[in-house]
Amino acid sequence: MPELFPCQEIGSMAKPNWRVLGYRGAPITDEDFSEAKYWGRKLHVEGYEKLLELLKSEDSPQVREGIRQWSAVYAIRLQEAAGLDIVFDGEQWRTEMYEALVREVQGFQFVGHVRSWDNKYYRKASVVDEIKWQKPIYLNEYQFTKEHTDKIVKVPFTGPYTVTDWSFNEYYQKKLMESIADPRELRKKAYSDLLFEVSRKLIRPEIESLVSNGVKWIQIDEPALSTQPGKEQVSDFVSAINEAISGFDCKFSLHVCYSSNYESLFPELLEAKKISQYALEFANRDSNKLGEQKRQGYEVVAHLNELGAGKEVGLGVVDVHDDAVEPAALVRERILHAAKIIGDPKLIYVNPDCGLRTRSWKVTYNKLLSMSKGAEMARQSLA
Amino acid sequence: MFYWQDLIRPFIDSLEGLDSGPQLTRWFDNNTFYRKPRINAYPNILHRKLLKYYFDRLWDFGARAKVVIPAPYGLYTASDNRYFPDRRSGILSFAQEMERVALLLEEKGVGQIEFVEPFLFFRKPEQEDIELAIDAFNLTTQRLKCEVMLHFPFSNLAGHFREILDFNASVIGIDFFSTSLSDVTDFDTKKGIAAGCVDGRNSLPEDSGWVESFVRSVIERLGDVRQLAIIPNCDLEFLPRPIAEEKMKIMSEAKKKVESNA
Repeated sequence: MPELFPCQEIGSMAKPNWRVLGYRGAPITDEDFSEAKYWGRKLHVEGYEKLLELLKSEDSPQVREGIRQWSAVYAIRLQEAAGLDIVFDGEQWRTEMYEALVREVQGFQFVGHVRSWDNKYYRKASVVDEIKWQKPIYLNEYQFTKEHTDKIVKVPFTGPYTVTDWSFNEYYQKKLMESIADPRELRKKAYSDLLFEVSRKLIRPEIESLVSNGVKWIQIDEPALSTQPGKEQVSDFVSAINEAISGFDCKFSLHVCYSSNYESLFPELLEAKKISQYALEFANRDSNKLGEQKRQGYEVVAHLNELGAGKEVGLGVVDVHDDAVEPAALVRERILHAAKIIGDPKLIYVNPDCGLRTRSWKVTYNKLLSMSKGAEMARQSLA
Repeated sequence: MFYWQDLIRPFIDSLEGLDSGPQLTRWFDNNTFYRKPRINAYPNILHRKLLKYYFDRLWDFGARAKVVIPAPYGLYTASDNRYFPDRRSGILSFAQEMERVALLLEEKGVGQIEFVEPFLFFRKPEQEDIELAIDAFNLTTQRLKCEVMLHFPFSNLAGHFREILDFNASVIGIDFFSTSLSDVTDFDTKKGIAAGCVDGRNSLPEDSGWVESFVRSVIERLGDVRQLAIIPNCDLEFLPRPIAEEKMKIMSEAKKKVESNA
């Protein structure tokens, strides 16, 4: 890994059509087949012909599993080919960040679909009983990735605040209904109870299983944290995450996305002392022009500096909502701008704002490639 | 609102001068997103486009029909302004266009227009924002004769009830899962209250007796309130549909209990 500006992804990648349809047992089109072939060749995926055979095979549980594993291999190779230093499997194993975690845990029950946006829906679970972790959930993914790369492997992990926030809370609210008459107090207390239960009974045991099996870096994903209405919620998160991660010999980074106001997380968030890196969005609120004196998207870096945070920053340098590929020169400029503000360039890690899940593989690859080229240019500028 | 993608989109589609940007933006503290409108020019409502978002049969219900639309401050705040030189002129321009929307709906015969304002009090607002929201709302509603409700989902209204008196609405909707009843002070009992005491963001079905009991405590606290409605604290779209339907039944049962034990 380079000493300066290591590159990483910080969220999921799109699942290719051949993966989605193949895993479902549905027939794939010629176009999907060609795509599997194209990326197999382009990324020099060893033995990709076996995937092509699988895609033409009769549906069976083994075929489905094989297709899923190949999609993880493809995602790893894409990140490597694009020049990333820290990799994972693009979350190809997971249906979705929330569902993939809670469906394996006792106490959660899926109660139906709710709208995510437009006419996209997701399955939402309710906590209907005491939470009980049963078996390792992310360990297979980690071990698989580890077997397929020599790069540093990171495990993205849906955090306690997001699990709590995205679940209906029946069990803990019901327990309190007789003693608390005020709905606001009831909701608040039940929320807090659930948050700490998730931390203690789900997140911590899962981390324990990962760390005891060699995981060295866990990225806690907390998209819901950015929506918190006040300081009290940030403090609750800090207490809960401290309970979940204290005492482990492992690096922890925190990814928070979709925020309009990162400043509101601080200084409380600094009390989560075991978290050594904040991976945040910057590029989507910055100008795409070269030569800007003041890069407005990166004001949070200055804020962290003023607070004396001393944390690594996962610097979002490409926008995940836009197909336009940022030139490497713009990436370089953003990195150097942030490095200058923060003082110690070793604290800067380079990544997209979030996962590139909503972008095609072509756009994803080109953005990541431009990102790693821009990081190399920034290294040379400081050499 | 089955045709609606979210509270905002019908107005992006119907207001010339706006388009929906590529960016998905989270809808408050929900795992739900909307496309953030971009304001590129002065807004101009196209009634024909807006009406496509309503069931034609809605108008047959006449005064029993209610419609839900965003309050002007919220609609502007939900957007990415690329046109107006300052917020005040932008928000007041939106207020004028939303007045045209409201007058159209009133002309269609609806009995109540509910304006939704989740933006103002979600986080602690600046005094200037409150005043701006009041000016905009009153501009939008000044000529309406139908019942006007103003609902504040996801909002803690503690300490703001004096200011809420200044909104030209005859019914105020309170999300009691965000505002404690004990914080309701200085409520103008000439206004009606819509008590959001059924949780639109939790699948746990409230006991109708619990809802009844809460409604009684509202009455006890506020005294001779002009009108009291039982509502969910927010849209029911955050629930799977069968659960949403169950919640509506619970509200209806609670209403009957309140009435029969009056």
